[in-house]
Amino acid sequence: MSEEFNKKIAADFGLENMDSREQTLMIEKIGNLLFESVMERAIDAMDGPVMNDFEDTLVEAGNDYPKIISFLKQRIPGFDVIVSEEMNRLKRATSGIFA
Amino acid sequence: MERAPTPNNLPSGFENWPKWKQREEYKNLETNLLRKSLDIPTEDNRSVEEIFEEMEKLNPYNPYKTVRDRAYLENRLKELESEGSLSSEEQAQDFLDSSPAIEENQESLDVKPETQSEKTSAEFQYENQAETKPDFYAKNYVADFGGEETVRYEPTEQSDEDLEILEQKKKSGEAINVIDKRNFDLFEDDKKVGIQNDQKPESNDSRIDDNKEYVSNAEYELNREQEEQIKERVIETKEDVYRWENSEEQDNLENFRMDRILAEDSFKRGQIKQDTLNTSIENYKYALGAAADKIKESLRKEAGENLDAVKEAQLRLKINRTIFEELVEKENEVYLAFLRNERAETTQDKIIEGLKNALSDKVTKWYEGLSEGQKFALNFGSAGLVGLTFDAVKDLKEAEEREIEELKNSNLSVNERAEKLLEIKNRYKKDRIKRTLKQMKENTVGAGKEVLMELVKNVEDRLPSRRGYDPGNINSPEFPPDVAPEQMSFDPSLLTHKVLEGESTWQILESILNHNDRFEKMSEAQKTYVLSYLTNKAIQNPEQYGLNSDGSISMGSKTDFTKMFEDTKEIKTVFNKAEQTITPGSPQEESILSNNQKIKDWVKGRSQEVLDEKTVPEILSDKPIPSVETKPEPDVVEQTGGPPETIESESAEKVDPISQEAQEEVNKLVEQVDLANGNVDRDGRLIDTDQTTEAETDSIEDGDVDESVNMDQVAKELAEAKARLAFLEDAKKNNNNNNDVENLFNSNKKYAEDLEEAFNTEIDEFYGKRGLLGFGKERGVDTLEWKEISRLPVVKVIDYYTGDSMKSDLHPEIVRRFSESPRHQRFIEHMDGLIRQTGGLVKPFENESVEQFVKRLGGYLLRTHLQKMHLSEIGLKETA
Repeated sequence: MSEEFNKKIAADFGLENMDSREQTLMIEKIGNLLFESVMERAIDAMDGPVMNDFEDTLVEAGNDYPKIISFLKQRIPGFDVIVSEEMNRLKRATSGIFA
Repeated sequence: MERAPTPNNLPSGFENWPKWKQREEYKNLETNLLRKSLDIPTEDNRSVEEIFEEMEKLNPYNPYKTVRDRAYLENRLKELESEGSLSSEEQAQDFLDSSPAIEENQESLDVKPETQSEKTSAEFQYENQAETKPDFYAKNYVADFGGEETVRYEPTEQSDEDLEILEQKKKSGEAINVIDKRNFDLFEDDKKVGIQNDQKPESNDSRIDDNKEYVSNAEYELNREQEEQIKERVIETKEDVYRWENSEEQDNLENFRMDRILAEDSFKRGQIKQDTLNTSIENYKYALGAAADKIKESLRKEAGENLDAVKEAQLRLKINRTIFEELVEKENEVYLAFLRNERAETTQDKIIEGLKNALSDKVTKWYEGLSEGQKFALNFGSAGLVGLTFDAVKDLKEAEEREIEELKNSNLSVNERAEKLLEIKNRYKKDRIKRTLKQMKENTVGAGKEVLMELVKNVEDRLPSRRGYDPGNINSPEFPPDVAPEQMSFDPSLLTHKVLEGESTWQILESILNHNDRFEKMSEAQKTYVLSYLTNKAIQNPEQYGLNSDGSISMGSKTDFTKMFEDTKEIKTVFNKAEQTITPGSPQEESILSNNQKIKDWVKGRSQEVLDEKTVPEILSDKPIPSVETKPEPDVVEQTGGPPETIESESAEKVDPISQEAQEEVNKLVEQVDLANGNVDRDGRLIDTDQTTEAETDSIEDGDVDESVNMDQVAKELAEAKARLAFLEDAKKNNNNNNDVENLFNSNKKYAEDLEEAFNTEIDEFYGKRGLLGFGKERGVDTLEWKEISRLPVVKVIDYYTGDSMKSDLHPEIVRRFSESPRHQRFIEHMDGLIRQTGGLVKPFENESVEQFVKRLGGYLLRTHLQKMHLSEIGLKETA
């Protein structure tokens, strides 16, 4: 991760005062939370056929995660908005609370 | 929202409460602050800042630190001013409803008056509360009237045993605090020690009539839930008052968090207005800050005073991790539970609901199977899409508004203005999108970028044709649509490199590309082609990549090829061309291999001569190396099922109307970006959208490739040969020193195979699994552990071993695995030992992977061994 990118993420999530190692750990944890909530909402937005296709894609993709992103982007209306909302929610939950 | 009685109509007894006085003072300050902020006259002569300071003394979590919305301020002022019109009883009720609980050193009122006439109104209110809100009743009563704080109350049915205890208490004259029909079991350390049951006084209020059912079924259900909550709540002892787990702040946060989640849901359904949602969010943020501060306070108190620097750092670490677990993870937990609950309520088909839950679990398992790096890329590729691109868009919006304003004031006709307005709006919408997409490319690097690019591409593909419009001059090279999207991932740490002795630009680029699977699979000629192209590009723009101005590199200097690999489209185009044109047996392949051979031959035979720009054309004079035909031509778009279409230069005269579909896409994206824009705090985090970057991008996208196609052939050959010069220096040196040995190697057909086998055997030593009777046997190179370490940068791995492991640049998860895996430890020790065996002659390159280095190291040792054997044979022959 580049220093600049790291700084941006750290600033957005209120992690500026942490050392870089701690920042990295926190960013990863936040990433996990982000993924969970985005997926929960994405699945809620799926109908039966999309669910089936998604399950197949999940099996086929293995660890080729871009395939999953691509699928969600194409098949879930407003996927970008979901990501945006979830990220903002997490930013709100983390901003200004750390030592 | 909190409401409270005013000093003029306080119910009897209220005025004596210290907390009440404090609250009232705060409300007055708040009212004055709001009036001043809204330019409404007030009797308070202090400035806004002074009032604010006074408020902060009473409430350090003053919400007006963050609230700046005028509508919110106005609403709040209305609320405050309308409180005066409430009856004292209503106000008291409201106050009780919203009353925070804990107040230390409150006067203990163990003995309560037995009749209403002797009780304060406050107590009377509590009695009423107890009818329908037993949780508030128990909590607030103890908090505000004192009593034994080591007990907790659990509503229960009256049993014979309970009645007996009550009787005994009455006989002994023991005080009973709670005035209610309900009984509360008393617990100390989870052991039931008795019950409390104060007989409720006679009252004219029908709601508290002993023999009436004064709660509806719904209220009853609510009460049952509240009773359950009470069971879990332990009222703090004074020693534990600084702990956060059951603090008032934590309770408030839980309430406000749930309120916020419900408000967000209601807002999405159009049931509440933005202002209401904002208020809910502000309350949540306020409560969150307070809860976080409570954790800090608790842990600091626990840690003691006068901490040295190390302990202070440890404490901060502990605080942050606790805050994360207690507040952030909890936030997600509650939120996800809410989502699932909503799913259960809104999905009529229970089978579908079950399938969705199962799919969620499946996705979670899939996610857990990804590496840490992949998880990161997945998450922050997506997040980068919305989080890092707003400011430029905002700037454009302001520019658009300015332009529209000017248009309004212009002397154009109505029709002309309408037409111009449409043109402005279209132009800015597209400009915002393009800038957004461009920033995504610029601001996202590394693993995240590839995911992001995939997301970006989906939007780009749906944009109107490039030829139609050119506000931002974004001329990305197009790709043949039949080529599948290729993920081009280059670890950013590989792109910068400190030049070591004997290295060349060619080698450095090769070591970067060797980390790319697609490049690794290419033939020698294809690789040569790609490397030639990129090396030429570097030499033509040396200052961009940290090269000397003449294109050479110096030991100790730092190269940076970030810009080169930033434009993945160009790299992909070069790869595509290499694969499509330099096919096995093609004239292009023959040409490249032939030229390679010529240079090698020349080097072998001329150990003392200099290979430079003058000699290379002579070497290659009979047949030029990579011809113009084989150069990538990213300016040509190959349409499926049709002839290639050359992209024409763009001009204002060639503006095509924007298609309806594309326009919708534009609108949609802009709306999304605007939506996100409103929610993101950007203070101090402006993203620079300077023209330099744009110009650079345009240059890369438009100019460089075309220029390279039209370059003078000789100049190309010179530049290319110049790059090869350094590349072949090593071969030349080897030729000088070990020509016989080299020939010996070349003549040994099994050398490569032997080296590979030696390598595999070496890895087996450390990572191989023998299995039982042959079952479960696994070669070391096939194990997950080896795969885990093999691709890591060897320099970092050695740094980890030889330096402070905690300070190594390796990912913390990898460091953890290293520390836990004896195999890794042994292998790294062994590798270190082998390096010593070479007397320091073989050192890792900065971008080299563990596997590459071990092979090179093994190759050197094997070669040295063979050389010794060879010399020994010669010596023996001479002796004979």
